[in-house]
Amino acid sequence: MAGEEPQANGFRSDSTYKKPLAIDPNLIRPVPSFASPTADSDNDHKDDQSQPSTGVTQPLVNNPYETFGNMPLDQLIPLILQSRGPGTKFADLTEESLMEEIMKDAPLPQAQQDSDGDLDMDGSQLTNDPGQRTPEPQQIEGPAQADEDAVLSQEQFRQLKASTVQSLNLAVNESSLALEFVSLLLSSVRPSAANASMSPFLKKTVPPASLNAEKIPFQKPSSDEVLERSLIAKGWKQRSLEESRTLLKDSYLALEKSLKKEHSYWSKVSHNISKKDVVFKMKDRETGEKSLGIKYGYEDSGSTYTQERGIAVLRHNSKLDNLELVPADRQQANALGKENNEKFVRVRIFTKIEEEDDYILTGESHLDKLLIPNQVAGEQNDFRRQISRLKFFIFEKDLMYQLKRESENLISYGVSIENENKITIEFPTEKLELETMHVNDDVIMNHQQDAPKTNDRKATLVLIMLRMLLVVIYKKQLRKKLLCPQTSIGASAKSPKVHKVVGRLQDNEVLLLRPIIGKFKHESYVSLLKKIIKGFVLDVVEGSSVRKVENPSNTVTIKDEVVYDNHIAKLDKEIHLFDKILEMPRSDLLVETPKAGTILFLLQSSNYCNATTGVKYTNGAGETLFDTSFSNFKELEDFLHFIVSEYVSGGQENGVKYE
Amino acid sequence: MSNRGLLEQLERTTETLSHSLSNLIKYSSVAKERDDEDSGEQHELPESTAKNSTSGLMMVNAQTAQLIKGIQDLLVMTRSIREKWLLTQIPDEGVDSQSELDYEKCSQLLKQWTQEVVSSEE
Repeated sequence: MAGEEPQANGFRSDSTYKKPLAIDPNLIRPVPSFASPTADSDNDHKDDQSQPSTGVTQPLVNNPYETFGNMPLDQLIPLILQSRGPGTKFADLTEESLMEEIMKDAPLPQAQQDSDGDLDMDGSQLTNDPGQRTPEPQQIEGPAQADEDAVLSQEQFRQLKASTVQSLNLAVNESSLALEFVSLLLSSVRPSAANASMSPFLKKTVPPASLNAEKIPFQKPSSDEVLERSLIAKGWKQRSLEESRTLLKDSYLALEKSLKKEHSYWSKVSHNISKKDVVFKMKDRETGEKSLGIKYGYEDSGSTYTQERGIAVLRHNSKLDNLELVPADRQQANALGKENNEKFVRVRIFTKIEEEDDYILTGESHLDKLLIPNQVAGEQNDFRRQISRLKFFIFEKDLMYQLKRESENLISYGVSIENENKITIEFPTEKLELETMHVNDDVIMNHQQDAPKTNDRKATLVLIMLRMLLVVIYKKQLRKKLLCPQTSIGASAKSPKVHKVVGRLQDNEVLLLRPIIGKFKHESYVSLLKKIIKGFVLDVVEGSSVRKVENPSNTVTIKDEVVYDNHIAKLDKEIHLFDKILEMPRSDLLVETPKAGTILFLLQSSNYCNATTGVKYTNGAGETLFDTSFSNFKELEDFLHFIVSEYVSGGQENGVKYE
Repeated sequence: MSNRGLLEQLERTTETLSHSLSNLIKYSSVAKERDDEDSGEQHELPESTAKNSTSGLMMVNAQTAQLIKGIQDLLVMTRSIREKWLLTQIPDEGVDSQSELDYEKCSQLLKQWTQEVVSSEE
C-alpha cells in the first residue's frame, strides 16, 4: 500500500485529476447517467464531502478530495456549519477569522471547506511529498492517538469515527481497484490467473486483454539511492530501537517502584501479621487495586452484630511507609461524608440526693488505655494498635447495640433509652447511665483531669461485667454453631441431650443488663423484705430470729457432660463460670420463732427484675399451714400480719389448740 | 494455584522472555542488515523502507511489550506466591491455644465482683 499511495494521491492532488484513466471506475460505468448532483449528495453523501465535481453520479470511489465547486449554496452552507462544529453561525464567519485559521493550519494548502477532512488531508499531505517521509517521531503516532490524551466529546468521537470509517472504505476501494488494474493488465498474458481475481463487474464491462503495457527494464538504483535507502532503513531501525529503549526504561522504572512498594508492604505484613489474624484477599474499593483484607469483627467468635462488616483493607501508606487499616465500612462512610464512628461505652453512676430530689455524679468508668493517645512517638501508628482499636470499637458498638435491644423490654423496670446513645437505669437510690461516647480529645482530657470519685471502681466493674457477659453470649452462640450443624451419625445420639442443655440456657437471649439489674434489685428487695420481717415478725414475736438459708439449687454442677470436643468442652466450662452471675437471683430467709414454728421466705425473680416472695409457714408440729407467694410487698405485709396475729403471737393458745 | 502450575507458568514466562529478547537483538543488529543488502541488494531495495518501518513498529509494539509483559507476569507470580504464603498459614495449635484458664480463680473473681458491686449499692 505504502508504495502505491504516492501514485494514487499524486494524480488526485494534481490539477489533471479529471483525466480519464482506463481504470477509473467512474468512467467504466456502462450507463453514465447524469442525474442532478443535488439528489446525489442528499441521498448518499450527506456527511462526506466526497461528491466529485465531475458530474458523474454514483461513483465507485468516494473521493473526499474533490472540491465542492458546483454545489449549490443552500447545501454548502449547512455543510460548512456542520464541519465547524455545532453552535457556529454562518454570519460569524469573517474573512479575517478564516485567514487566521488557514494560517494556523499552515501545512494545509486547501481552503477552509476541506478542514473537516483533516485526517485524510494529513495523510495525503504526508504521502504527497516524498521529502516528508523522513521519519519523525510524531508522525508514527498519528493524529488519532494524539487526540486520545485530550478528552473527546461525544460529537468529536463520532466525527473521528466517521472519518476513520471513511478512510478505511477508501483504502478498501483503492486496493480493490489496484487488484482490478493488475488483473486486467495480466489478462493479456495469463488469462486464467487474471480471470480468477477479476471482479464479475469488470469481466462483464471490459473485455479481457484490453489493457496492455510495455515492459520497462528494471532500473538499477543509483548508489545515491542505495545509500539513501539504507540510511532510511537504519534510521527506522534506530528510531524503533530508541522507542523500545524508552519503553523498557519506563516500565523498568515503574516496575522497580512498585517492586519496592510491594517489598516493603510484604515485609511489613510478615512482620505485623500473626497467624491468628484472619486475612483474606479483597479488592480495595477506593483504589480498585487487589489488596488484602483483615477481619477485626467478632463474627467468627459468635457475634451477631451485623451493622458493621468488621473487615478492613490492609493498605500500604507510601508516604509514611507503614501499613494502615481502612475499614471497609469507613470507606463508605467517608464517601457519605459521615463522622468517624469511634465510640466507646461509658458507665456513670449518679447517686440521689434525698433532700433535693436530684442526682450527683459519683462514679465513672475508667477509659480503656487504647483510647488514650500514646505518648511514645511512632507508637500511634503501630499496626497492632490499629487492630486493637478497631476490635475495641466494634466490640463497644456491638455492646451498645445489644444493650439497647435488651433495654427495649425493660421499660417497666426503670430502664429507659434516652436516645440512640444513652440508656439510663433507675434504682431507688441511684441512677446508672450507659452512654456511647465519641472519641475526642475533650472527653479524654476531661476524664483525665477529673478527680477520682467514690463509685469509679463500681462503674468500671459494671462495665467490665457487661463486656464479659457479651463475651459469654458470643460463646453461647459459638457453641450453638458448633453443636447444631451436626451431620455425623454418631452425633445424633447426643443431640437430645445437647438440645436440653442449650434450651436450658436460652442461648439466643441477650443477657447483659438483667443479671446486673437483677443483682441490684434483688439486694434492695432483700433489704426491704428484711425490714418487713423485722416490722411484722421480729418486733412482734419475742425471741424470734431470721437467718439466711443457702438454697440447694445454687450449687449446680455440670461436670458429667459428655466431652464432644476439646473446644466445646472448653466453651462449656467458660460459660458455666458465669452461671453464678446469670442465674436468677434468689434468697431464702428463714424466720424461726421459739414456739410457733418457722416461716420460710423465698425471694426470687422470674425475669431478674421482678420479685415474688414465697411464704411458707410451718407450725411447731411441722405441718405446713400456708404456702403461697406474693408479687406485691403490701399484700405480703397484710398476710404476715394475719399469720403473726392468728398463729404466731397467739401461738400459745393456737398452738395448744392445734396440739 | 498449585506449585506445579506456578512452575509451569515460570517456565512459559522465561521462554517468552528469552524469545522476545533474542528477537529484539536479532532485529537491532545493523551488520546483518548490511549483509542482506550486499547479497540481495537489488531485490531488497524497493521495499526496504516499508519493510523497515513496519518491522520497526512491530518490534516496538510486540516484542518490547512482550518483554515487559513477561516481567510483569513474573512480578504477579511473586505476589501470588506471597499471597499463598500468607493465606495458607494455619494457627499453630500448640503455640496458639491460650494458657488454660484457672477456673477456680475466675469464679473467685466473679464472686468478688458480686460482693463489691452489689454490697456497695446500699
